[in-house]
Amino acid sequence: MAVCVSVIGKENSPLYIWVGNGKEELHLHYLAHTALDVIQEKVSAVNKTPGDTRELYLGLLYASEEYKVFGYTTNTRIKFVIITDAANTTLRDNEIRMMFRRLHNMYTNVVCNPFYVPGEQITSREFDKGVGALVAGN
Amino acid sequence: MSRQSMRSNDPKKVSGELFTLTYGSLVAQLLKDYENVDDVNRQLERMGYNIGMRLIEDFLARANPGRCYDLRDTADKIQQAFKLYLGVSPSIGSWSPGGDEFSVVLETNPLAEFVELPDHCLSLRYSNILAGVIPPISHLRILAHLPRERWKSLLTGLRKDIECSSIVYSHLEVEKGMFNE
Repeated sequence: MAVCVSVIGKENSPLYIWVGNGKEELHLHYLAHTALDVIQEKVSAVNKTPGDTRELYLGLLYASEEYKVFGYTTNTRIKFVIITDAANTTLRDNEIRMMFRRLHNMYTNVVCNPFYVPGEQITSREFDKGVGALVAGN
Repeated sequence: MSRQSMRSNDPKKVSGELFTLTYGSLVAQLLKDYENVDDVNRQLERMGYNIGMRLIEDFLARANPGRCYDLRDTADKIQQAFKLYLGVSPSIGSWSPGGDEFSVVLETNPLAEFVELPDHCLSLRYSNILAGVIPPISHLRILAHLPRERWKSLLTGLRKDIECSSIVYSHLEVEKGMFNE
């Protein structure tokens, strides 16, 4: 069960952070932020082999006692971070990949809105609903 | 491969998404330029009017619809035109008892595919360009617009749960100018 979903922009500014009910918001924000370092490592490592088509899904970035952090990056340097409970072992890799793909689709829908300026905070109600459905689906 | 061969048959066709995005950026730019939502609505209607004046020639040439004998024929032709140009089939309904008013309902609006109106322009009639197209082609008058949902304005008609007037057309004006052969 995903506990936190966040979308981070190209300059590493947060565009959207959703935290599940009753969870420690600040701690999760902090975790998402530290995940950025790991993402940067992974992304620069892949860049050393040019010609290698970069995989968008970055996999498990970081696992602590309480939480597992997964990352996904797009070709436009937008990053998605999903944090789940470490206790929850039922979430398989495929499901996380599916979640990221759906997130990516929802993000492209938001960007297509002519009133949304890329780089702004995401305030779209459709996106909120989509994220709600995404986490509830697990 | 098959997609490319389809496109080569009619080079004038563009993808629907490109059209939607173009219209979207047009409306966003208009908003930035005019800053006043009513002005934007008026401009969109005027643009629709200009498009309608030109479109009617094209429609007559392509579909050769024939003369309209009454308002129901006109409504049919409008439906046909929507299908031809936008690829959507609106439903015509809510005829007034006198048969001189009706409404055009678009279930899916191709112009507003990904659009969410921001809070500062909730009264923006996003698809006002569609509303502008109708008068020049049929000499009908638009009496009202209805938001189908809170944040999308379409050329739509009545839904029982929304209490507003529907888009209605005056019968008298139809007699002044009908589709001619």
